[in-house]
Amino acid sequence: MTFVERMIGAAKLDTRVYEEVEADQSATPQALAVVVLASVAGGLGVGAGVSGIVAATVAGLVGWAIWAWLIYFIGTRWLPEPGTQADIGQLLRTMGFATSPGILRVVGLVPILGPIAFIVTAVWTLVTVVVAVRQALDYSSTGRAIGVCLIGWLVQVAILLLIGAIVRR
Amino acid sequence: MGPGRFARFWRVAAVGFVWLGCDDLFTLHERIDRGVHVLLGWDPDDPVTDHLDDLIVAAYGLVALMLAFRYRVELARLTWMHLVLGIAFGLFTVMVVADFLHWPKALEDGLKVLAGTTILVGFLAARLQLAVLGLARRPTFVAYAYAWRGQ
Repeated sequence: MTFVERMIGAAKLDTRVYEEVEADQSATPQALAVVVLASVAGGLGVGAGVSGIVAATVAGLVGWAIWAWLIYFIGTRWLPEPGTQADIGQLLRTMGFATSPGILRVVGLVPILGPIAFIVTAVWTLVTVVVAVRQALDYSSTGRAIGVCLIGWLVQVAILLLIGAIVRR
Repeated sequence: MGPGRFARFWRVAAVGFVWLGCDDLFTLHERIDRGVHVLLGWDPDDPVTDHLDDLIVAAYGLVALMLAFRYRVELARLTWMHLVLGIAFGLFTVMVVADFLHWPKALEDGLKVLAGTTILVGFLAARLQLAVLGLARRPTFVAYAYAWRGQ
């Protein structure tokens, strides 16, 4: 599959795409590119300037890395299934491609549509991330994947809030 | 200026885009180039006639410019579309730079997807602003939302 086919497949929740990028160690730069593009689209969608887009991209990359690491840790140490076998690279790749729907945040350039685009892409991305985590951690249960994502997300938000508070001081 | 006159522009533009899509899919301008060479018995490697396919692409651009000029007054009012297509053009420029500087292929392809999506958003913006300006036959929820916000 080409890079673009992988992006479209990931957005369409095609489990074959997630299995393919999980196994393809050379796909990590592609996953990084998807995160960058989704962040750029988000920055454009909110009408941010160049500095805002750069900040959104950095935040997107940091968030991606933290969330992937947390999910790797929680999913493989605390809540593994008997068949769970994963490394951090697999999580980074599958979760990176799972941010593909974020490219549609560029719709926010059109007045009125911004909040709608953000809500739709946020929910869509949440669903793709759950599928990505389920495939990367070899879970048979989607509920377990949702639980891992939720715990990972809450911990990530707490960490980011803490970093924000330290930076503000 | 009314919805009827501008609707003609969009009909012609739609036909043009379908043609461009077919051209890209079936390499039409290259086939026309080869067909003309065969029909007229020209040497396919002639340095002058070899650029016939480039001339055909230039003709597409000329037709598009003529159409845009004819409807320039209506098009000038679609400010949302200008902004979005301007950004799409910027993304394409970055894509060309990425290709020139041999940046990672994934980034170049990704920029192509983002720029293509932005172009589609540009046309969506045009459709929605036409409704806001009262130039569309049917209003959209964005037009209602705009009226509701009092803008």
